[in-house]
Amino acid sequence: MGASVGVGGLIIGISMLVVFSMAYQAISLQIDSGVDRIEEADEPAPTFTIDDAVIYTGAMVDVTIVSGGAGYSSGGTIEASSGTGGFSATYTIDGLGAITSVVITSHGNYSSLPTLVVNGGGTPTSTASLTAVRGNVLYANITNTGSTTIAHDDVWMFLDGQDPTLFSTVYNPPLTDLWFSGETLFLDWFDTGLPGDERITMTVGQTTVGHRLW
Amino acid sequence: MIMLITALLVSGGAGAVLVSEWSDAVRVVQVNERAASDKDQVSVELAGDPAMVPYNNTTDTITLFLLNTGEYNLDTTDYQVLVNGGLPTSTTESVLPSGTDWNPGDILQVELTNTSWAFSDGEDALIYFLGASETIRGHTHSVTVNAEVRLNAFP
Repeated sequence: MGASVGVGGLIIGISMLVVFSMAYQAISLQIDSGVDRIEEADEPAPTFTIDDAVIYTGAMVDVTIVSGGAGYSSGGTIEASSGTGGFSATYTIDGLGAITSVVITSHGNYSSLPTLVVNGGGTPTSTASLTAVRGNVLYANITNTGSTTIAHDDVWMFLDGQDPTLFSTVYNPPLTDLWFSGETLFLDWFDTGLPGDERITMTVGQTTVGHRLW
Repeated sequence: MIMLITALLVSGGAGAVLVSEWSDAVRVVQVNERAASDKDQVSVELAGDPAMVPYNNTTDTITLFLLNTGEYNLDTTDYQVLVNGGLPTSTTESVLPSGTDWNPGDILQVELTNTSWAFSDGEDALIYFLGASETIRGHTHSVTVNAEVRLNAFP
């Protein structure tokens, strides 16, 4: 009698161990797949707007220093002596007061190539010769209206549906290369390479937004 | 005593076989679960302006830009594109911004040519793209894009 009870107890015990082992594996699988699903859960799709976009086809995109002149002082600006396009630039000088580099602060927009002059640069002993280069400049304000942070490297831009260009290659971020929720970025993209563009389109992941260029 | 030992051996052996078989079944389920999960992470989208898809009406070439929006590389050679249900006679592709691997976030520029095409500027066309991922844990997964676009003809 005692032996029978012992045998029965052992068999039941082993059976319970087997069932426990199977249940453990099944629960482990469920937990693993559940955790995988949580980890791989999609972030919300990025959403953004192109608030405005304009292209100037007569902008000054570069300044060629034919001759840097001499005797200039720092603090002056380079401006156009003709036309009303709004060009402006700053410059740096060397020890002799010659202009060595130019940084455009406003590209302006001109129907013909203007003459450039230095204003407020002291009394030069030799006048610099500067030549402007005309090209395209595209200005746009874009706003991240979604809840996800977008890396600049994830943004592709198209002009008239062509020439995919990474946003990060034409935008100089003042702080970081992340586009946070609610943040509006001002794009100043010069020398787009295509004349007479009509539309700008931006693609981030599955989201594409287009805007007419004025 | 003999019965006790016999019963222990039989139930122990049966339990071991059962657990082993169950482990195999769980492993198979896990592999399939992972494959299904990987498939969710493989995707592609049509990038660029759907209202201005470049169409060179001199060479009858349509240029498409396809963005890898998934988590895994896609195959740059194993794909097919239909335009209005018809196949192009030739296709060429390149990866942007550079390289040969179609990584997540990269664009595959596909140029489709068929000299029998005679689209006009502003005409709409149906694009169907069927691609495949590279092998992920022994599986490849298909991706599709179905879109209606407007062609921007230029010479």
